[in-house]
Amino acid sequence: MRSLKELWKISKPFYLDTYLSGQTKYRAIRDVNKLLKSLSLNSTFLKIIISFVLLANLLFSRSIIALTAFLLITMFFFSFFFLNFTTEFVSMSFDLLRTLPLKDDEIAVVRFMVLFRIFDIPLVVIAVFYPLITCYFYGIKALIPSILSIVSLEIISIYIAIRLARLFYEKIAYSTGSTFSTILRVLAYFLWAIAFMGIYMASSLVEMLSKKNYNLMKYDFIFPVNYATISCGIFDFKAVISSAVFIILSYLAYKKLCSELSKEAKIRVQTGKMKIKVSKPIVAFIKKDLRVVTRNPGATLLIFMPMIEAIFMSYLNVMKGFLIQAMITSVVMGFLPMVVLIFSGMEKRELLKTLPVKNRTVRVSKTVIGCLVYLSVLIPLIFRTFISLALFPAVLTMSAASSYMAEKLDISRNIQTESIKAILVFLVCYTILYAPVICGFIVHFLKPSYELVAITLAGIAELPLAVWFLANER
Amino acid sequence: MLKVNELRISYGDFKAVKGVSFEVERGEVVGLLGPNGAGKSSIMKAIMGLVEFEGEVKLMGKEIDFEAKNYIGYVPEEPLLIENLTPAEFFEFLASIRGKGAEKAVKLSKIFELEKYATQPIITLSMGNRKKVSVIAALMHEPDFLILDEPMNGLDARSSRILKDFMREHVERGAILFSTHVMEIAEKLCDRVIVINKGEIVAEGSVEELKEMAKMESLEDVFLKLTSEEGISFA
Repeated sequence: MRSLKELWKISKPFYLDTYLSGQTKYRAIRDVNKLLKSLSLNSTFLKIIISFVLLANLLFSRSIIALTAFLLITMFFFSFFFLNFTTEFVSMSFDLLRTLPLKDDEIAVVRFMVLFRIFDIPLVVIAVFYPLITCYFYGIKALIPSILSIVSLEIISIYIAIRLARLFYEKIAYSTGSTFSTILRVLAYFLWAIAFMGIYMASSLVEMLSKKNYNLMKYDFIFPVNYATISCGIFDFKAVISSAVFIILSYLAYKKLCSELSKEAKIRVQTGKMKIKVSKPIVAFIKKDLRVVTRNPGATLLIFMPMIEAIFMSYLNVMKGFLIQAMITSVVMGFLPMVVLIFSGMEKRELLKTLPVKNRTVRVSKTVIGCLVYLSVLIPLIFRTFISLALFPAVLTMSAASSYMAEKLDISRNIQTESIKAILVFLVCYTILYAPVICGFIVHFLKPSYELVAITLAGIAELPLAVWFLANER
Repeated sequence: MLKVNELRISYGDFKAVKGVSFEVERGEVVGLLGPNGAGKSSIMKAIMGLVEFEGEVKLMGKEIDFEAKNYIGYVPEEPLLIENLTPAEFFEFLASIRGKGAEKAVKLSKIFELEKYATQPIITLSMGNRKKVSVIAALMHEPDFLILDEPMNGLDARSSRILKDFMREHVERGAILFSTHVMEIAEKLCDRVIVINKGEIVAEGSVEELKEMAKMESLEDVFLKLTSEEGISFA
């Protein structure tokens, strides 16, 4: 058996491939080395941020309720947040390793290491700091239970992540053949996006239970209340038995995970008749984009994010008064330029150059998609505020501007590597989006109750820009 | 039908094509032959507007604008596909953009035995089947002019045969410019061949004319002589 250090080195390019293949599938890449460096840096940065957020949460978890919420949040993060990369991981072929002088055991270790690398920083940080911090709060008696709790929780979370990834890859992401399968695919993503929002839900649940001084001890046999209870050094019979059962389950999950890793995921091959339904070019682009994007978990999540956030904000019932309504709507809208850029980025410009298609058609299709995504935001928000409706013209102009700039700056291929161009696009997009909101703020202080009129008029004033961005054939 | 005049293509400091001129008439199959890196694919990409170039490229007397793409079918060396779509979805997209070709795509899928993979994402298809998708995408709108860059690469024997038959049939109403490394195919299919070496035309004429000029028996020998280090030219 080769040394672990050597196998760790071998696992690195495969790990980077989980990031890179997600990019190359959807766009042409000009500078792979630059992109790899940038992706590697971005992923490390993201992992540090996640670790920091989780740690900050842990530091304030000084009760069973708070620890339960922390464990739930951690589980949601590991199970859902990396789904894009775990899906790439399960779809990866490790055939290259079989052509090298490596034994089956060594290949299995390399695969395990690639999986570990996807979660590495937050996984280690939480596994180390959770026992240390609970020990600091509840004494040395919490050490062993907290180690067992956090390690088994991480194993269960990663097992869920891999099972979900396999499910998405094998049954959902590439399901084709009928409208029903497309609807099913979108629904599955929607549920996944909701599950991802469980992080917010867990936090709000804790806030609600804490306010009511709820005694969670009655339910300390439920996962992960059991882990939170024993991590506080409280060895209640129900909690201990339940924890022991879950630790055994996590061991079984680990064994199953190891065996799953040795099996390659296979897409269910579907045979069906070739049916072609011709539509107008703009509709064809929209249909094509929706089909492509719903086969990419990361991009789909980003598209559902504004809608889920809008639903969540409506549910929280916090939208009281113009200023809060305007700020929340602005935050929800913040995702939209990225959404339009993702759709523009998926466009294979080389293929388009071989087709009788005008740039204008492509731009209009992206603008319609931007507006459709915003409509999904508008519907839940409109029950709380009409600001979302008043901002529709600004969203339309922003979508047109974003698709125009993506095409002219060729930013679609280079968004990861050409950050100055990306900043420029975002700057223009946010100026268009937020100028009417700023007008609304100014009017609010000068002449309250006219804010909506101001936002609407400012948005309408931007519309000639939209026409220019869409009609310009230069 | 196609007129290429003083075509120059550079990638940074590297001059890939150095002032190439040729014409393709209606009813002609013209083969572009040359070693790897000679500039064949670059010329084809320039005709399709995929690379920047200097010089003149005209189809039926007009510059190749977006409307002219209705009359061209292009099979690139590396298939240009949307890999997360199924072949059916991809053909549907192309037929919608071009406003024609849906029925022909279904027919060609049957001929090329691709129908059973119609609802499988392209990303999951084998290299050969991806090439078939690329070939059908280029033929489905029944274009007048075909640009085929190594079209037989990756195709199985049956599909190669079908494509060759299709090319013979097509040339009666249009023209074909195609590149290949297989001299037998060039010998059988081409009315005229253009041999390119290091970005320049080194010979042009019918296969028989080239053999006569070089005083050699086979096109392969002529090709090897023309593209050797000595840099002989019959142009």
